[in-house]
Amino acid sequence: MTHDEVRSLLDAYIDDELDLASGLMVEAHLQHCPECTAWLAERRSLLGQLHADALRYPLPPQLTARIRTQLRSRAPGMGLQPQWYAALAAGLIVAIGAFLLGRAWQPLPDLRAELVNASVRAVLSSHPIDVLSSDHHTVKPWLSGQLPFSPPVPELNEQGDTLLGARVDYLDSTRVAALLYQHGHHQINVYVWPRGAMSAVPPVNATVDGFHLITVQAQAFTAVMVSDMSAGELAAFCERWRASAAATAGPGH
Amino acid sequence: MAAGDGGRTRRFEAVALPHLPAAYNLARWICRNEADAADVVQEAVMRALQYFDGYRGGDARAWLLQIVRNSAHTWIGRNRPAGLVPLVDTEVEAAGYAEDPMTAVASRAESAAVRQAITRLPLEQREVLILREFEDLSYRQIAAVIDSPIGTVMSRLSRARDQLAAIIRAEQRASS
Repeated sequence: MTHDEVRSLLDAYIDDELDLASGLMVEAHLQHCPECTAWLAERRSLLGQLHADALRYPLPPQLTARIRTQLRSRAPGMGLQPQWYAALAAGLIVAIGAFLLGRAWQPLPDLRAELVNASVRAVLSSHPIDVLSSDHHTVKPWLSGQLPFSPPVPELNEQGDTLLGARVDYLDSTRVAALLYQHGHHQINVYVWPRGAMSAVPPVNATVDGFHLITVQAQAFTAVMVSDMSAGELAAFCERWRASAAATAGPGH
Repeated sequence: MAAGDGGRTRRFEAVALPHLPAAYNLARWICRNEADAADVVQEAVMRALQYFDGYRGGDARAWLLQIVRNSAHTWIGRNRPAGLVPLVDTEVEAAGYAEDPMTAVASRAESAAVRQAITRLPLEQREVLILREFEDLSYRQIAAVIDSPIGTVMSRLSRARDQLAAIIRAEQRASS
């Protein structure tokens, strides 16, 4: 990658929008390019000045009331000038059509939203973990005692990932194991259940509200990784997890 | 819109109304005017209700923001031909600021300068900057909202940041 190519990717690098390979190439370039390193620092300082709290415009409370009243009155277009309809026909139909066809707007099975919600709840909750241990010899028996199955619990300690612990979660009327890992600044929730135990459509890879989801089949289990880390990083984590799960399970289990 | 769809309206309210703050913020930054932004948001919500049957779940905020953005552009095209919008935002003082009294004065001055600089960005750069920095949307979500490829989002956002840095530098030079 040339200097100029790297420069053109630095904004996306700051925003964590690069795929794993490009991110690594940018990082390799930064190690020996003081110019790009300085540019990056300056950019970060600019973005540090954009305090969303101070710069967002707060919603006027009377606007919410106005909108609620109009919604309740069930009179569409009330108080609007006729030219809105022409504008609506011209501008919006095209936009909405494109919008509905857009690949980003596939119907979202509830399970994906449920998985992300569960992860968000875990992050927000003061105790996201029921059994706090980085030792799978502690975590696995605990989970086996809580669940009708014994999920794989890879420790992954040697690859920059730390097992923080586990809890039992409830998805689509099914009790599942939720393993919590830390990688850098990010946490990864891994939901594990026996293959076929859940009636909902298993989620394919997706992005919901900034969270990435990756589904993987490991032996007799389905596992879904959910994290706010970049999709590339999560894919790498997923591969480490799957390989380690396969290695620890062994044929005798 | 006959009787019997009260449940639909309630469902719509549950999906759309939580995102009114984001909707208003975007409209306010695009229109650069409080009263216009309020009208645009109200209109956009009524449009969204009409299209609610086509909404199949998913990212409600980005869905609503796209409709708001379209309403705002339509509104600008009709009411504010280019050149009529004042560059100086007269309502800067009316907006909310950090509460800490120790830093309020300094941060207020800094925020006012940054706010003024963002206001001066061209619309197509301003909107992607707002969606990214204030609404924290991913490039993919922004691409859907502005109905453009992700590459366009990347280059516009980069240009917006370049431009913003240049405006702030120029302001600092002028004031020193």
